[in-house]
Amino acid sequence: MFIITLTYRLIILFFTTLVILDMFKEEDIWNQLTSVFVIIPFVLRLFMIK
Amino acid sequence: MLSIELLYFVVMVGIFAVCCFKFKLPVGIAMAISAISGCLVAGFGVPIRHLIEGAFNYLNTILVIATAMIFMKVVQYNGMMDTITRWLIEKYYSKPALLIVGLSFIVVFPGMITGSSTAAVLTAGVLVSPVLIYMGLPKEITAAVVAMAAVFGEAAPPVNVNALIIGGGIDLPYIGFTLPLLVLTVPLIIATSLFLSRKYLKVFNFEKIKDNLPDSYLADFGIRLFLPTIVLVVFMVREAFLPKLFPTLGMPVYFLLAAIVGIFSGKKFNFLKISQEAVHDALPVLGILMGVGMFIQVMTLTGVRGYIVINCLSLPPYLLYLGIALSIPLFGAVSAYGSASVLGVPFALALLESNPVITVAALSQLAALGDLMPPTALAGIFAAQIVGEKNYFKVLKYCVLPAIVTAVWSIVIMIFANALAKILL
Amino acid sequence: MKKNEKIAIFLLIFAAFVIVAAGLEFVDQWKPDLIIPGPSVTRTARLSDYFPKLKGEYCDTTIYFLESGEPGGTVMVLGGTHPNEPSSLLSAVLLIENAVVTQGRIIVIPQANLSGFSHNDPQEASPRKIHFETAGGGVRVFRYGSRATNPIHQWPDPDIYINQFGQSLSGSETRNLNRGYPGDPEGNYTEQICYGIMEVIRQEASDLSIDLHEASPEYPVINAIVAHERAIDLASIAVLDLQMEDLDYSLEISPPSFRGLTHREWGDYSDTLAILMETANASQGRIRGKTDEALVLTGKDKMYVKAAELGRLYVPYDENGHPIEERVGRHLTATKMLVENMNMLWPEQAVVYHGVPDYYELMEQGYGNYLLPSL
Repeated sequence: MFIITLTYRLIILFFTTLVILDMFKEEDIWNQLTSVFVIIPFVLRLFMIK
Repeated sequence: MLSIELLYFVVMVGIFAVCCFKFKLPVGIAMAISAISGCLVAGFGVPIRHLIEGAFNYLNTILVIATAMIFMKVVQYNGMMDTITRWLIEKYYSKPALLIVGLSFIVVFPGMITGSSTAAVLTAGVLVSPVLIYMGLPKEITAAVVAMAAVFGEAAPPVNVNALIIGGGIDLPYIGFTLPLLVLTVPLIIATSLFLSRKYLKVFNFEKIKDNLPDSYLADFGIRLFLPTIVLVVFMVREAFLPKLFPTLGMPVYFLLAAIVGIFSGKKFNFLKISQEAVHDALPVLGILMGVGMFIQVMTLTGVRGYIVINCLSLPPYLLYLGIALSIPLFGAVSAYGSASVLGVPFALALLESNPVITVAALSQLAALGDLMPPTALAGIFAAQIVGEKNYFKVLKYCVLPAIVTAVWSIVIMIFANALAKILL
Repeated sequence: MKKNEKIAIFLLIFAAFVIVAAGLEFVDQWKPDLIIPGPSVTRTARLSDYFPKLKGEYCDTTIYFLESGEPGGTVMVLGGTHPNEPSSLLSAVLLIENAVVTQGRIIVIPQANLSGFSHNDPQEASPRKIHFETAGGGVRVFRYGSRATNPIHQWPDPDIYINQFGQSLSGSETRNLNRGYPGDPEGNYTEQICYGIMEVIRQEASDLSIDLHEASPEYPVINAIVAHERAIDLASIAVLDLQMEDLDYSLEISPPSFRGLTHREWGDYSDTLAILMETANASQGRIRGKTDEALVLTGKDKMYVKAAELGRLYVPYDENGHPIEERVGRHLTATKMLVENMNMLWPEQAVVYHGVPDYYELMEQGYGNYLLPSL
């Protein structure tokens, strides 16, 4: 179970990075804000806070 | 029943509509703004904890979607999709009806074993849609065929997440669902695919399109080309049929592993670059799901959720079935799984005199239809996306009639649940 | 730097602010509840004393021993199997803080799924805490948690949870303590907690074990006692006695096909008499209106009143709701009846106690009045 959880945290880290990179390329501010929505739960789970 | 919750609901829906249609904000943002407005009018301020907590409901779903998108890009870029398209058309162009029904079942399959229409669209839907387009189907109808098949796949056995959710809510073990779910879905899969493609079932002029067909890479890479899909199918089938063999790793891991295998399977591509592309394409939908999570949490907090449930349950008996047929798919506008939980469970409890297995099976089919209901309409959105159609309403237009027939079929089965139980269980 | 990059940085700072603000509330939910050992508590233990693998884990919950020193039987009371069913924790707390045991002993585990107390379910909009004023004017606080184990302790869920008997359940049920019995020392986090609790029952040779729950008013098994077949005689006498006290209960025998639950597996995998009890809790139901602390404590809810008028509920429901005093009172009175009838049927394993308020005392005095003041 520990390994699987760690794998999932790595997947989340991978996607968090991709979403942040996308934010810097995105021209539309509303689409950038949409990325924020996704980043918040990702980070909270990445650090196992929620 | 007039009450303050109705006001909250009207405010939330009104603000959502204004943000979405007047100011053209992304759906996810519009949902979040409408959720915050609901909190403000109900006197809860801006409860950050509630908003974020609600969004967490879809954390696993967005991981599945994001990884499935990467997988989809991989089979596009490695050449497998082109190869399959060419092969299917070369082989079956003389039997279009058989081909279309067969292609529909290919879309149904990943839905059957994941219980998710999104997974079906983004895996098999991607593979079959070019074939349908080459057969002469317009891209909107192609997307409609894929979306409907994906919705039936979500309901088809062995894995039906909506039935599991409703069953969990009324403590009904997930036993005996296979036959009722087959009866609910199989006739509709065949009928819907033939109905949607009825104008295009003539044997088409193969020579004319032959030169436009995509290249086949079979000669270059051989069976290796299909490795990503083979790996994915093996993982999924193993999970569905031999669950105790080794620990379950979950859909996101399967999609990612299959995608990584894809790097070595065919044409070269930059994995990181296509991952970025996949995430970029998926972000609007991921945002919608986060917005939906906030929206439902606020509906629960303010009592709007209860208001909707009690009003559905208040319908007189002769309207109850009509209410079920309308409200469960409509609530899918927020989320299909959410609809199964919020409305499916109380309706299942209200219908306890009927055979619960048949009733829950039929309710789960109605909940799956919710994946066609805008603004979330996951099956519709992704089906539109894979055929390159920007406006998914054009796709949903073609789904209306099949969806109504599906709802009627589900209700008929629900009404005759006890009689059917004697035959099927 | 381009304009969109500046906006991205600004939005990331905004995201950080939201993460911290929400994160502080989530972390606050991890803090333990204060439960004060009462007059008969001789010692406490941890779940890991029975299943060492759980040592250092968040779920390593506290077990309270209320021992008379006089020979007799052992009764175990379990609260907090589902931390969103507050009368179960609150009944267990009143036993710990008030009971005076004069024969035999009582073992209380007030927070069986401690991990479940450390978070709330998404989309349920639950209040995080509930508050009570004590007799001295102080305030005691308890957490209102989730039905299931916290995903930060067990994640991810499988798509389908196949229980130890090969039955398929919705994936999230993998974190439901009352689906994972008899537990598995090599299983997932929740199944390990189940195993730990089974070990307490077996090693302490509990004669009667009671699992306290609540159910939503639209759920058929409510204001009910569910008994394992070996405990059905005891339960049926208790139900008759409760009727004499004007407390209506329905009696159900544990269905043999419904696996993984306390009333089934405790009885099958140990010698204990296994009982599960339910009271009516609007705050976990799907028909409820506005969700807040007041709903948890009073059960007053206009949607449920309407649902009762429509004949959709399995308990009577009016403007008075079902206050926490009523729900805790039912659990404590029913527990007392079960124990007294056990004493009558098997005098050699008698457990005798007093000092715990009954239904009518709680309804009159209020719940907070029976809590010990925090220092």
